Amino acid sequence: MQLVIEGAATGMEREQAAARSTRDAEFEQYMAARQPSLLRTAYLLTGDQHSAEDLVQTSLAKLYLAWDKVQRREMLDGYVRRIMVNENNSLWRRAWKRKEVTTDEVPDRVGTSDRPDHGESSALWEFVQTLPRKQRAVVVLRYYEDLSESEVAETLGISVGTVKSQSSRALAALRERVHTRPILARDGEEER
Amino acid sequence: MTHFDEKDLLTRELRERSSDVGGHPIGFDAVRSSARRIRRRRTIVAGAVAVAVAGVALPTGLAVTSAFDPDGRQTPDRIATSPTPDTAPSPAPTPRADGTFPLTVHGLPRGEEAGVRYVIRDAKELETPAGTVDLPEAYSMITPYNDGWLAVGSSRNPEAVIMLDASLEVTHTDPAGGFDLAVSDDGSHVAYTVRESGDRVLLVNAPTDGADVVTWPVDVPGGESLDPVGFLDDDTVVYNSDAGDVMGIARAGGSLTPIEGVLRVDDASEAAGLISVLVSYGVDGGCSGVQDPTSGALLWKSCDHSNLRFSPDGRLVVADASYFDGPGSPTLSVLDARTGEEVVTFTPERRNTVVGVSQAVWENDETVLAHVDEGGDQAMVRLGTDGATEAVTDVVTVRDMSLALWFAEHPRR
Repeated sequence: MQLVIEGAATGMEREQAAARSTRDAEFEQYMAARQPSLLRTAYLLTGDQHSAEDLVQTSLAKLYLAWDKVQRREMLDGYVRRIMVNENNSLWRRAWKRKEVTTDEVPDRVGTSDRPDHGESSALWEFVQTLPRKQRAVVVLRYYEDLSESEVAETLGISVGTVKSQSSRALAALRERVHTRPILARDGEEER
Repeated sequence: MTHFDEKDLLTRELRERSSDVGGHPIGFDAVRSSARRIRRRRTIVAGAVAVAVAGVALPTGLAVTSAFDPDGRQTPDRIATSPTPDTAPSPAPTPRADGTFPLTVHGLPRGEEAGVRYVIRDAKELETPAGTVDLPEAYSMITPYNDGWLAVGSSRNPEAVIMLDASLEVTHTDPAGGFDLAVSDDGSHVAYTVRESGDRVLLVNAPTDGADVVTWPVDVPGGESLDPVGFLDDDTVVYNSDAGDVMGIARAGGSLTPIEGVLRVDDASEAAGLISVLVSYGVDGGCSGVQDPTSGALLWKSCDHSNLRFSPDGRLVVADASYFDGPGSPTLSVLDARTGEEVVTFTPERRNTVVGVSQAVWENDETVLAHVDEGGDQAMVRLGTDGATEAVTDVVTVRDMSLALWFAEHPRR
């Protein structure tokens, strides 16, 4: 009788280990497929490589903890995106960032690129980095991730109206910046 | 006029800038280690909750602790589905073995209609204790004002303070200085902000009978938003800004007193004369506490909770967890406002579903209304300080993580 119980327990353990292994493999597969894209979005949200990697790692860790709970797999991307944006907007990261900013450190420049840069690109990037954190999240999700206004609203947990106002404010600020620094618009004009 | 499409310019810059991002690939082991650290911290928090809850007597005097079941069996009565509001009061609910009560939208007895106003997004309806109001738009926040309504944010006019008459015709709009409004406990005053220029915002305290308003000009760097947080009395408004260092108390006579040494103000209590604040930050969340704004003394702080909101009598605060998952706070606690001692904590009923509270507000001194998302199933739930729970609305299933409803006079954090 005891042997039967032990055998059953071992079988159960084996089943649990197999389930864990399948689960981990599934998560790893998702992680490998989505990591580059998440890292790019995180970089645009944070403005530097180190913070981006940290943000993605924390967000994936939270997703890993919730992996079994996200029963609708089609919601995974939205779920992890929301974790990432919430995490980036979280009060402690904002405070941490403020503290870092006071050191006047120049944000990391990512890698190297062969594309010509006449100054307009870095000026635009500087502009993006001056945007308030929530406005920047709206801009990244709307114009980089190409989400609809309602998808951005859902991701950020704000109203569609707020998405509209935040993106139009960012564009208005960019327009104003172009008037004072016309070099920003050169790229666009040259292509026409 | 320069001819270019700033949207294209922005999209191209974001794509080019991010195309260079490579960095060090994050390995599965590193992610799993981070997950373990987060889980350890959450377990420590949950353990602390269990110890605290098991030892605290409820201010309402209900015998939850004496009804504690050492075997951890859940009381079947609590999840019965058919009681009506007219039936005799249910017996005091029994907590689980860890001292917490279930946070769920399923299997709850149906309770009375909500005692606070809330907006139903798709229907563009404002539900009030007196009945339903068909709104022209699903305003972000709306409250009675001058025999009509005062709203902030709409889809057609997203960054505006909007005044409507009793027939819901727009009578006046101003550019909003933020996204929130705050209403005094008795509803006699409402505070909101108007943007005067890029960095200059006007904080407004308006009697809701339409009498003359009091204003304070506040400079907010970078064009950030400025929002009222709450009232300390009819003439004293506490405000906060995303700009970080701009937070303070606006008093009658025009004085602005900065609140220093904290990272954010979350709420103010007229009854207790206290404010709740975020005081520091950590790896997986921050530490929040309650402060006496007169002396600046911090009464207590907790690194297990955040977003503390005072009950109307100022004796309790309802608190989110110190960290948020996708849909919101995974737990909800009620604490003693003067000591931080846990009174009751609600944690997810089902372990295999993501549960989050997107908003929780006090309905009266003894009940909290929470909008809860459980794996995409959303409902408004009433949570008692004795641990009792009941459904206030039907369960609505959303496929896209959007909110089915929100409370009309409380900000969404």
